[in-house]
Amino acid sequence: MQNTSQIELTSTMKEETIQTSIKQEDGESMLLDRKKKLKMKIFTFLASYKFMMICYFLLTFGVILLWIILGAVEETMYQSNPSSPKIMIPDTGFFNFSHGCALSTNFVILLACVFVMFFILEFVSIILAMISDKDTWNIKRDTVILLVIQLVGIISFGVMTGIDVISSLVDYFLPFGYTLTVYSLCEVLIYTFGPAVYGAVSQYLNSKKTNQTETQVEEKSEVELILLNRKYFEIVLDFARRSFCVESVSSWKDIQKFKEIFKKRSVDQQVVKNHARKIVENYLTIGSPFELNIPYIQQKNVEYSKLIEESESLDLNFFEKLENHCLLDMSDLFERLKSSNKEISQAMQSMRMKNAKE
Amino acid sequence: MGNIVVSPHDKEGQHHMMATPTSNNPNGGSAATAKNKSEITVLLLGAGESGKSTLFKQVQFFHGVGITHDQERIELIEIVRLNVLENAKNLVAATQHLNIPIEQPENRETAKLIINSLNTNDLEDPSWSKRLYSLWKDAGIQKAYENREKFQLYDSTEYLFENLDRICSDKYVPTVVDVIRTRTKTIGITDMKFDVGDGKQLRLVDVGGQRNERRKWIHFFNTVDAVVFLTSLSEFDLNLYEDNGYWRVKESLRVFNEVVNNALFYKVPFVLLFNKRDLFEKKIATKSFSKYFSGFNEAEEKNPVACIEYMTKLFLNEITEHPLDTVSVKTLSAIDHDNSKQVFEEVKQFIMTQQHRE
Repeated sequence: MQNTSQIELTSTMKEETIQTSIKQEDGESMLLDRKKKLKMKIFTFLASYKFMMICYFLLTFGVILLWIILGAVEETMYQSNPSSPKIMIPDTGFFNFSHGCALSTNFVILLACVFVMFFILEFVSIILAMISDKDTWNIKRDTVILLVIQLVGIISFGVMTGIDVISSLVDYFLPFGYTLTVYSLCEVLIYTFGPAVYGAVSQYLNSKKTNQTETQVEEKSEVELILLNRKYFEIVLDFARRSFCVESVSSWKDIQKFKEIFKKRSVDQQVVKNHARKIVENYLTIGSPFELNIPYIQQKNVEYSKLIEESESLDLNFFEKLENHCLLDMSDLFERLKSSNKEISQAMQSMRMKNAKE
Repeated sequence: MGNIVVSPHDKEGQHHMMATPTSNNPNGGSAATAKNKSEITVLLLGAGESGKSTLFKQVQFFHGVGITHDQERIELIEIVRLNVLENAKNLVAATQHLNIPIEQPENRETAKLIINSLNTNDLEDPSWSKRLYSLWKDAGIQKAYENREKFQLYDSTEYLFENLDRICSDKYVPTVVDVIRTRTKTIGITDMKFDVGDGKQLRLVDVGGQRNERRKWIHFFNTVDAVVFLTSLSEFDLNLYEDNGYWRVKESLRVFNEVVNNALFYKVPFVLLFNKRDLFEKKIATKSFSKYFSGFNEAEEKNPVACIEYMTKLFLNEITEHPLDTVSVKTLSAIDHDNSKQVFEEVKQFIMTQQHRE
């Protein structure tokens, strides 16, 4: 309780000194925030389980409903005029479960229409999937694999229809329509079962790893905690941009990205090295727009470049010293930010309390 | 007490930096002239560690903002302790570099901890006060300190070590002097505004001084109404932070030459402040001044007035374009509150009179 009252006290003290122009700017950014928030809410909903469950239920019930309606239509027509053949399933009926069926041309046309509708949706989805810039869960890869399986399934179905032995004899024992069902099975395996297995395995491996290295867990400073929070990071970056010192913030960010790339793709050292080269080029080059405020910049450029080119593989903490330098440089920026942004100041204070307790 | 805002420069400022001095853009032009009437922008320029931010902090302090409040200073505990650690680390590293052994075994232990694991939170423990002080008093460290011109060390070192008993305590709240004395490398550009009477506001702009930071100064050159250029008197035996093979005086002269002869500043009042007079007087008592300046009469080298006169000539000789009657030269000891207040008042008066003359 006491802490919150202290925070309020400082904030009122500061408010007296804040000019109206700055307040206006805040108002503007809040308006932007509201728009962004709404957009974010919509996106979160689209990616939520709620939305997925609704889709699945709607599709399941929709298809069952279609079946009942079509069956009912056929059945009523057959009842009213038993002499005419059934329109869709000639030798039996929708609601007859005692034996299998053959399809009439009418039904195939109807089915084709439904398929065309689904293919259009699929086509749009594939395009959307391919142009999206983030692919955390490897969905692009999975989609391409499934697309290939689907095409193979459709083509082999078409080919088999034309081969007499298969369509008349083999089909009697094993329906060749299963080529299409195999696709559905693959879909479940690749989209659902696979990720669940990868997830479980990586969780198991991670837990093993953390058990081994638990003692080495690094203590993060408040500055780092703020930077690791996406929302606060944006505030810091914007403040740094407006006070002309964006280089240490963006260098820190790029070093985090380097670590991420390293963790994911340390096998592919070329990718890791390319990113490392970019960091040296952007931040450790005299005259670069993002030149860091660091002693012996030219020497450091040469040293890092040499290490990148000559060593077989880089280390996860290759840029540790540079990262620490950036964090140290940011102390001035944070000092200023804290006294002009209440939110950051409060967040840092609560982080400090938490750290102290631990 | 004036109305003061400390902020990264606002959007208006960004707009200005886009406008060229002879801009035909009606918006940019009229805004600039309107601004000239009510707002006087004063740039604090100078090479790294010349004391720009120290003067900036003093001005904040005697206008009753920022570090005047306990709450603001509590935020700076980390920075003060970081300064202690940096100083200790630099000294220990220097003993290795200069091949001066630390004499007492227990101090060698302390030194190891400082290099490897000590962090700012550890300094809450009062036992560190004794350990660090004992290290500071070690003959090896003292010898390294005497040779401090050979490596990079903050001016505040002695002050901080002498105040360890306060700093290493869980109840520590930095005093105003502590904050003035701590060194934080400024990155980017920051400003504050305060009323100077006549309905006018003075906007004081503080900048980073290292080489990469200087490229950012240009963003403010168009809106400037006066330049205060700081240079450190006590840097005559020191090399640059950015490049340890480069003499600081040479760098200061070069930067001064570039700024003072810049066509944008022909009509702008220019103040040259020789800072760190206190340190300088102490330094020439033990070190040879004439060793660094071949043209200086050796017999006069213990006379601070003669030395400063010589330095003044050296700097004024750089002026080739700027009219001399709008240049004022003063000495300053920015860590001294009263002296800063008096000198800044004089600077303000000089700028205001020059403005009236126009």
